Amino acid sequence: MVSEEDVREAIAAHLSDAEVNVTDISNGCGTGFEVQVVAQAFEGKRLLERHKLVNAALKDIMPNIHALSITRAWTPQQAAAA
Amino acid sequence: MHLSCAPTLGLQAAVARRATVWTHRCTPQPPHPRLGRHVHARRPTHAVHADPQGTLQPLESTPLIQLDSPSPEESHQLDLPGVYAVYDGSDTLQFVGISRKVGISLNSHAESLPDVVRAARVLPLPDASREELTEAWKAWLQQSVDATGKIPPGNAPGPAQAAWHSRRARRPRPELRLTPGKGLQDLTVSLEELVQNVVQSHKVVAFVKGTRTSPQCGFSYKVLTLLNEAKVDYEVVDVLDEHHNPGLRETIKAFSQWPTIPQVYINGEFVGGADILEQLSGSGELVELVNPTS
Repeated sequence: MVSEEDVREAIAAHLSDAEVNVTDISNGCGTGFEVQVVAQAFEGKRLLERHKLVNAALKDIMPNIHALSITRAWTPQQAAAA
Repeated sequence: MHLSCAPTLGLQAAVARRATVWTHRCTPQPPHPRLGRHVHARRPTHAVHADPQGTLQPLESTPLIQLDSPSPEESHQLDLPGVYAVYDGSDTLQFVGISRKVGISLNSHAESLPDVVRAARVLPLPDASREELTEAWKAWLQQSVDATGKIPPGNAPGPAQAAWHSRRARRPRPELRLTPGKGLQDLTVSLEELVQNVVQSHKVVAFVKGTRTSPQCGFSYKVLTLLNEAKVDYEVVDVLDEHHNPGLRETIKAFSQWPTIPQVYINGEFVGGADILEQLSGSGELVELVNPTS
């Protein structure tokens, strides 16, 4: 079973310096997660590319995840402005 | 044929006006002797076209039908082609229309304008040609203008008009099917090529779990809702339809290099899933992507 921590670690491992917030939205089943990521790596990238970076980070555990919702993919500048 | 009309024709004078309609329906037959008086008084109604002598039943003397409680005979009239005038709760004329099935048109008006549509006067013209119907409609419209001094609000140009002319929502467009459902072995092209073809030949395509009207997943539902709200025209492909889209559920993930469904394509390009579409919708970019203003 995938835990919130597994998701957080997988993203942090691929996107260094990323600030990651993970919430299990499947009532603790480990099959659905809501993810918020703030990372410098997003700089200069379109939303689609940012999401693809996160998806790529989760590639290995994705087969065990049914639902993944990336509700935030911000650069640190965006996060500071919000 | 004549006999079938007799019960209606046999009713008392109040109904006789409407009986002219039934005689019209029976025109090849001579008038029933018992009813000769009424029929002569009204003149034969097969002359509905061009109505210079006023052979057509006048609007004002046509009984008002309360649409929430029509009598059986009134309900029968609603099944016929004809001209109709719609009234609101205070019996003010709102709209004069023409229909191949008056009742269906009235229902549709009542759906789009539930607070306005209360009653109607109906002139059934069962055998009238298109031209005759139009002439009858013109006659009623002219009579209403003569009586009230203005065009009924629903017929006059202006914002009110659209609500009377908008048709009832059409049946939702069916989902696109990638194959005829005879299995993959009969295909001469790969599923990837079919996907490629679909996204390139349609402006907006949403690959979802389930159908337009019953999406099977919250994210698919969200995508369809966002597209509906954006009022964009879009096609839907149901990845769960294994019969017509065999293997699509996995194929589309590899094709788009995107691990989840729903997936939205605009102008042949992958745009994203529910989260991205939501953000594009919130910022107004979604509409801009589909219909660029510049």
